[in-house]
Amino acid sequence: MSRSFLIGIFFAVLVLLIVSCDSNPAKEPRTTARPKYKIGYMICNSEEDTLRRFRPLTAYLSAELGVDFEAVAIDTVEYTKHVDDLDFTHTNSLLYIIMQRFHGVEIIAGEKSGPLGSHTRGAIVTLAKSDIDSLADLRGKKMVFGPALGPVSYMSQMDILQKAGIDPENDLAFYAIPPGSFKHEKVIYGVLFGKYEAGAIPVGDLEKMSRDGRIDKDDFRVLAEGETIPYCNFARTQRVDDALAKRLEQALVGLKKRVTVEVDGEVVKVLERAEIDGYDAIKDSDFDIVREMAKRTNMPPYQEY
Amino acid sequence: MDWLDRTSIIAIACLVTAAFVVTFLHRSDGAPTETPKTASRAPTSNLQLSEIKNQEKKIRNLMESQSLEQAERLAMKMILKYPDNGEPYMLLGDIYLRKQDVMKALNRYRDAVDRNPDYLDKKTPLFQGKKLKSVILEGLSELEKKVNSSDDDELGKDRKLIYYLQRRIAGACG
Repeated sequence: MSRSFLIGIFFAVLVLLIVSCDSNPAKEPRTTARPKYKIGYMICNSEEDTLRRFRPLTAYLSAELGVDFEAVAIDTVEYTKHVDDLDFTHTNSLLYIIMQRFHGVEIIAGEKSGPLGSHTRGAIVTLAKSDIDSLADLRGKKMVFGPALGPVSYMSQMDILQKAGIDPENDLAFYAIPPGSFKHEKVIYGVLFGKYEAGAIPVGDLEKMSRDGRIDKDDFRVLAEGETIPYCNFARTQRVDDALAKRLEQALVGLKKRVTVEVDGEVVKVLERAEIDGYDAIKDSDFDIVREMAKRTNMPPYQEY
Repeated sequence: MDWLDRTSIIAIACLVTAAFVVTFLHRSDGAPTETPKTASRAPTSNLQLSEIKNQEKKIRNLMESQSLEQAERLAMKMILKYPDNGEPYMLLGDIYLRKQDVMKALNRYRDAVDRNPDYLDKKTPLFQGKKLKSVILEGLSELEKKVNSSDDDELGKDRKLIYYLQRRIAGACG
């Protein structure tokens, strides 16, 4: 064989080798789609109100983390049925401890609102002009509670009554939970208009409704308040990556009042629209007080049948 | 042929071989990805998996509506039908946890994990590691209380169970 022929073959094979490294028709073209995650927002007053408040926050988190978050509003009573389909949860502290125990959910951040920050208290109120001066006077009276899975609209008040030696099942004439949406407000109106002699509310509600001009808080008297406990919070489900959860925590805790986002062609302040003051770092052990209260009041996740 | 000719022939042969190897490797890269791990390591047909999934949904609905006795009966039936599948045991564990029997729940979780290690693998959709860790801590706390009540036989068994699950979790990808 001639030398030039061999050299020619050598270079031809070399070129073939280089070309075969570059071409790969079996590979699919790369897409630039962002990962998608679901945030389940527990319905506070109504589905419409919940999404109105939290869609801007969801949009902010999407932009901040470079992923696509989908906001899903879920009824409180139905929430635990859907938790395994979610990536992140936004619920009250009672739902959090239920999901933590039964579904391995982990806390990310506590939501700040009002003078107690990321905490709150439950209260039992009556009309200022009523003759009910103490908890003992509630025997034989009618009382209205907020949502049954509300830590400071039901559980805290049950705890208060039990500590005062009052059995709600036997010592009250009657107790009810309003149907439908806006339960917290219905409790206050129920007491104001005399349908019930006492009501169970979160401590901030009187102040809030008074500020809005819907009631005069001086028309009410607070009979008792419960323990201060954590309230609304963000948490993650078991399927979420640690790194993403950390980034979400940083985005929430670092969220300032001046931050805005565009939603449906409108530029809104994220925290103002969500009606909150910000987020705090919080630990699972901070919820032990809620767990102890749930055990005392035979509430989920410690309910015995 | 002199040494240069021989060297050239050998070099060409090596390059041809390398070209074939590289082409073959690239073809393998473009091949469809492996099918995701199935729900159970035990050999289970697609029909059985579908039935297990349906039963699981039914049992979880019963659990959510507090019909724990009925849920337990269905889970027991599932165990008889699919004794090597981890899911009925995981469901039973969840039912016993709701019944506030932590040690009984941990026993069933152990059975589930032994049949399907995917429950401890964070990379699989079945991962339950965080829930199991939390329940183990509860079990440890109960064990500490039992230490004071001096029930030695129960203590020994419970301690063994908790240590076993802790070891499994420590060695898993969770």
